[in-house]
Amino acid sequence: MTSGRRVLRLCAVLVCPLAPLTAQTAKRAQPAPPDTMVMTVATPVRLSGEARSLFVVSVPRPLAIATTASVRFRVVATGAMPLLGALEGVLRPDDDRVLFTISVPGFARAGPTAVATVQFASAGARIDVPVEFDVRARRQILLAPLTDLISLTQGGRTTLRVRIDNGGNATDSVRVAAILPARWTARVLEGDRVVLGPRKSIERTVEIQAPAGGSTGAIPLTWMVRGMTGDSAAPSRERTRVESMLEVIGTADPRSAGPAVGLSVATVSAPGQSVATVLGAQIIGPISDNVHIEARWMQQASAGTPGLARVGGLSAPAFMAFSAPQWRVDLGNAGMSLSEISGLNAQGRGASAHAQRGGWMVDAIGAQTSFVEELTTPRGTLAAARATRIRNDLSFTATAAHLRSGRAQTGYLDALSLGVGRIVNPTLSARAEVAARRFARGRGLGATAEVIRRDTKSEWRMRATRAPGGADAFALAQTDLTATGSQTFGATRLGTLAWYADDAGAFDRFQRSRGMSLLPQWRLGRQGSLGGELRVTEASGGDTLSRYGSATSSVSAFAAGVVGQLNVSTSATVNRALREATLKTGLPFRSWETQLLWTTQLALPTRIGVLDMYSGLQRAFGERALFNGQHEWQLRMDNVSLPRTSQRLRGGASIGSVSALDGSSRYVTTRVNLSAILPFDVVVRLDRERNPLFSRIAGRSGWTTVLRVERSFGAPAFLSAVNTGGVVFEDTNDDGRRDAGERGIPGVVVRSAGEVAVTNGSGVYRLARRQVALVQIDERSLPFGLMVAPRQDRIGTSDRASTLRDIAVQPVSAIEIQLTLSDDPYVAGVPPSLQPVSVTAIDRDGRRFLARSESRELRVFDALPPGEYRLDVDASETTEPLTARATLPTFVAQATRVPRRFTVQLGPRRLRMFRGSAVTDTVRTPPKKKVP
Amino acid sequence: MSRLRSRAVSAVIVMMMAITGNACTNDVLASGGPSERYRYTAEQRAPFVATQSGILTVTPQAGDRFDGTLDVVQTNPNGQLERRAGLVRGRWNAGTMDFDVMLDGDVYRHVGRSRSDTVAGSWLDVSAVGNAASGTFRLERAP
Repeated sequence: MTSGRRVLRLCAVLVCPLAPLTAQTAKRAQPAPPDTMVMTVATPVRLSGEARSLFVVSVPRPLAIATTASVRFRVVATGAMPLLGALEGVLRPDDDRVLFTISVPGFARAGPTAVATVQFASAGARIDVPVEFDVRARRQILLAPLTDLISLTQGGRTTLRVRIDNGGNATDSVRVAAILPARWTARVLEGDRVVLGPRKSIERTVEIQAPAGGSTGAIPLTWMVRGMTGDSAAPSRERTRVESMLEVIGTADPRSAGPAVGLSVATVSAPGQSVATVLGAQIIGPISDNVHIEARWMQQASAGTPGLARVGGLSAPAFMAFSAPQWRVDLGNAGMSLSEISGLNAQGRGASAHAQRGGWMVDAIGAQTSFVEELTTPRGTLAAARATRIRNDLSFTATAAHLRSGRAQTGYLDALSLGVGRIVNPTLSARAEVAARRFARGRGLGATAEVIRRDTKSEWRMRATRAPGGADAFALAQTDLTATGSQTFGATRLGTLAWYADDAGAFDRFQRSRGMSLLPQWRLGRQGSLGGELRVTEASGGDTLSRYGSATSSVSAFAAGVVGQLNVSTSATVNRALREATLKTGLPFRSWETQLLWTTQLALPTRIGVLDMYSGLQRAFGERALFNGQHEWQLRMDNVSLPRTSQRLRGGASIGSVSALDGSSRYVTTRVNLSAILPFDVVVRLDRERNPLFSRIAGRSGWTTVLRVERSFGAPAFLSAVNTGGVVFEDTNDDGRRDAGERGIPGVVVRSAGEVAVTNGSGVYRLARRQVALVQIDERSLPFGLMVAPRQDRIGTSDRASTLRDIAVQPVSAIEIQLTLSDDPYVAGVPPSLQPVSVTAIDRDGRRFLARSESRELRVFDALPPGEYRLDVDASETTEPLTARATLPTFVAQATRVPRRFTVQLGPRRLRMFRGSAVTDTVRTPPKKKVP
Repeated sequence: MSRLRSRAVSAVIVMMMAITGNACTNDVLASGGPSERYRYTAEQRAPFVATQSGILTVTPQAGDRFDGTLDVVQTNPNGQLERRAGLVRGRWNAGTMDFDVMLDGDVYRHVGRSRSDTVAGSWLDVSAVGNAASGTFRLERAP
């Protein structure tokens, strides 16, 4: 009879509620068995199972005890594990066993443990049956780097700390390894083998060496922990794996701080088109201390490589832009939007420039339009300049524009304008402008005005524009009135939109649209929202041949939220639409139709990426409806790191379908992409798309394929030879200066004006350029427990004479404040929520640090710099105003990884104010007589 | 568990791609008659000047309705090319061709008059909130 057969494993829901009641009943019924008896020890009952579970134990009546007599029993716990159920009682003659429950704690260590002894007593004899429980081993190893951002320079070396936790219940023996690309080395200074007891943690220091001349940028780093098989040196299976990134920064050599040059070659194959090879180049980065360059060129971009533009490529015209703190020049692809009345969307090939100095700004453009497919159209000319003077809260503008698209009737504008703007206060601003406009069919005076009011709970914007010539003369329309607004009331947000626009142009072309929309929206919890929209629109247009109109009234509702890990949003719209059409030589046409639209979007985070899903169902009703309806869906997953490739191989795929509900047509679109980082930083990317809407050949659609190879490398720059640098040090006495004994911090990333450096083993950093900008520490690179000193988080180096800047960091302290309510009768009945209570720590210099709200009763200061603090508790916004019951604690923050906790008890104010008919204790005193 | 779920999701995607990859060899499952192809040219005048050229394919459906696809290359004033494609739903009505083109989530309504093998008219983005894009278009029957 094995113990395993006798054990019934039940769930806690079945066992727990019954057990205590049974035990109490047994205690009342029978006394405990006497201890003066002849005692015999029987064979133990042995059980085994997992930690954190419940087991029902069945101990049979020993055979040596007669089955005809009543037997008293008592279960004596050893204290190793809690026991539940009837632990004392009498076995009647027809009972042959004692039942009780063992609750195996989650922290129970692996191995056999004596749990209890069951004593059976009858007729002066006692038989003890020991009960043992063998807890099965559960292995769980966790690894966490103690620095968020790991960085080092090319050819450099860094050390970092990792923590290994044994979350299992048995002593574990593992080996830690860091997996890096070729030519990199990593070793654990204390040895890679770790033996850890259950619930124990240990830290290890890992030294990483980067290859000289290797690539810069992000390098994948994989931490792997493997179990050890007994005492042998051969590691067994992988226990845990953690992916992180290394940032490799170029050495402080002026040549390597120059721009990055990238070259690419792509092969494009599309249905109906011959295979094309497209070369590309780009350059981005600083070329001198103050000047930055960005340039791109792609062969055949203008001649047409639509396949490349469609599938993961960029078919943009060539451009080159130089920028400095006070100016910018664009060459090649140039564009400028002046204003609604002096010229919008002027784009072409040429040059544009912007400069500012003091309170002056100047913008200018000189370019030609380019419509490459219409060789008969002459190139147009775009020339414009705008000067702006800013003085206090006022700004004045003057603009002159001469814009020609090259077409006879459209894209023609000469304008002279004057404008003024004013920031009335931080929440209110306004601007206005008038312009003399000359266009192809006449001339007129244009005007525009806009008022914007914006604060934390609302935003309102109103704009009115009159631009004679309209869209034919570089404006949105002849008349444009728009009002938008939103207002927040607690968890409710109300948005509104209303507009009117009309336009007329050559060939009797006209266009008119107007409408309004109301969008209420409510916040649901932390991550949900619910809303709706009422919208009414009307649009009409036409020309010499035809006139047509559309009108819609729609009601929609939407909801968004997070269910578990799934992001869900859905919307439903009912749309009533009118279609009208009139041709000068035809019969007028008019029809109504009703449309239903239901869309759902899901985003599911997985281990390898986010899976996006979309579904849209559209249904149309009405005799004259254009179609019955359609269903559209799409599945997409992008930027997926393929397993066991150390993030060097990434891919993505999407598939979508649009099909008519009557089954008349169906279109399926498929896209896949794959990119790989090869040796020498060569990046290869393959994109394929099959879209039946494109280039149908004999009723079938083919694949568009683009294979692209890219390589980037550094280029020299014209940088000054003077280096800026300093030391990142631990400021233990909070004086902002580096004193003797204050150590430098290695491996800290320092950034300034696009340049990055890493501190060496002594905490020293060097920047290639003389800095006139801010020098900042990337706090992700600081070791755990350190923060930038509050006074030194942004260090300006405007002093050109000094090139050395030390940056102080300080150890931080975590403090928890537990809020409790007093047992005062005023708050005991309906205790007020402590959610609105804010807690602030104030240091000796008066600097205030606001605590994070971890829960209703717990406030946490995650990182207080070392020093002496006093607390300030603000409970004025609770439903019952509260005050602290005792003097608030003062404390000294010291660097420690274990948070310290203080308790603050709150209660109602001693002196309470009553209103209305409530009784008040007021002392009536006669009014004093005034003495003349 | 999450690894298993990730693998399952990946497997589902690959299977669906394989299935649909076979299915889309015949993209139009059924049609009401022979398709007609038109050379499509259009000019956008607001909010900025641009041109579009491509192929409109229409398939007759029940009554006076038709559906189809539009495949165009748009040329912006700076010379940038952009390829766009979408579904078409419309009807013939006494010499009027009235159809909607659905491109990138917007609905562009076209109304034109038929004369011989050409159709000419104007179009408007009827799904826009506020000032809408608009322009003219022309269709010529392609061989």
